[in-house]
Amino acid sequence: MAKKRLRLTVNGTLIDREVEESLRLLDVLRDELFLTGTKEGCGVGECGACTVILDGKAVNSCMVLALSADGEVVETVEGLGSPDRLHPLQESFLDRHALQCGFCTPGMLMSAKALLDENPRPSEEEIKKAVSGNLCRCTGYVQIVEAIKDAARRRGLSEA
Amino acid sequence: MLECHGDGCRVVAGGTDIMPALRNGRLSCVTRLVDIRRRQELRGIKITGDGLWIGAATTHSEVVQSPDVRARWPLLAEACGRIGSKQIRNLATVGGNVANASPAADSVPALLCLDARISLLSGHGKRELPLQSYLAERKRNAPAELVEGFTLPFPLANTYSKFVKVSRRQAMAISRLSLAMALHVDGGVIDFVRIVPGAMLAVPQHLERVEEYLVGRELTEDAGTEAARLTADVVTGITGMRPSFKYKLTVLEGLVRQVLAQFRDGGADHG
Repeated sequence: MAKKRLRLTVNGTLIDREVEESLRLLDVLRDELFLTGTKEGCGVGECGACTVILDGKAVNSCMVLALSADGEVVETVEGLGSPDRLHPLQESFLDRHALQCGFCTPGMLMSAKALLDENPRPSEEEIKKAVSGNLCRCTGYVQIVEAIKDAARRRGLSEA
Repeated sequence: MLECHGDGCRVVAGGTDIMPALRNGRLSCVTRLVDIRRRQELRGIKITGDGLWIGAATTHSEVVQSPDVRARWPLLAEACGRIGSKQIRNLATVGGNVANASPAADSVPALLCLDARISLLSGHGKRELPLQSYLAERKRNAPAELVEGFTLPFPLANTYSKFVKVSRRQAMAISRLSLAMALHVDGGVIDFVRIVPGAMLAVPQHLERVEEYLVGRELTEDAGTEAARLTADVVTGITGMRPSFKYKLTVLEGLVRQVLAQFRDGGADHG
């Protein structure tokens, strides 16, 4: 397999490098850019652990060939907040005990961020629908849905 | 390119079906991929003189969110909204759902119900034909053509429509069985009806015999019961009995009866 040029804006930084044609966006993020917050769960688009935001939309990064995303904008969990300045979603996930093992959390956060970017005041049903492509096997969805509701409230307050 | 490389070349749009297939070695003969995901001429939704145009590389999310589709072709929005997860719908395309040819594809029964036409591009130019004819033709041989898009004629005002999906989970599941129906009543008498079951027939198709039975009748409870019974008969007539049919036929019959009852009560989508 040959290498081809890939230009991506990842968390605000422009990346310009040669990558193998067969790599998925997930592989480039994890193995080339060492952004290992994005997880690989099932690798077939079922679990949502690899969810990133591509040009404003939540997608499974295991389903996208990296070169197919050439020129696009990618947001990963690393771009969400920093340890001393957490994103409202990250604060709410901590406060509401919405993570246990943490493996699904980066994907959950990115699905939730895409939802709140599109719809700042989602109903509970809309939240459940937005994360229905993200499997969690230990925390339980109740806390996660509560955390997303809470984050929407916090964002609403900070903007008001 | 599709013609030159035959099976070695595949078109990728959303990639949500082909990526797992490539990775687990099911498509080891494929050496070339043609990525059409961002080809502007294959994307988008617009109203034309003929009805609604949907480019093949339009995602299910775009269909679900389109005010035009929701207003006049709500059946399609409903069906596309039940595919996969949000992440999948943001990538997967209508053209891909049709081209991938799964009998369980959710957009297909809806498109058939809405009398969609498909347009195809190849080295020989462009052709357009009813989606139903294309599906039957492709069952016999798959020509090297690229799906350009779909045209849906304007539905009659006040057409009822409904999409029902039966699957193991509410979200993120492949249809065990689905049903798309559209119906229009004029002066108390049915003058247009389409009934298309999904995940039951190798080639999805609308059930003409049942439709013929209903047209010209009043939408009574008895007509609904008879149409439901006839649906099960017609499906068995096309494919013969299958192991899953003991369950599926009973469910399908119940769903047809139920949806017709909803139409009677005026409790379904109005396109």
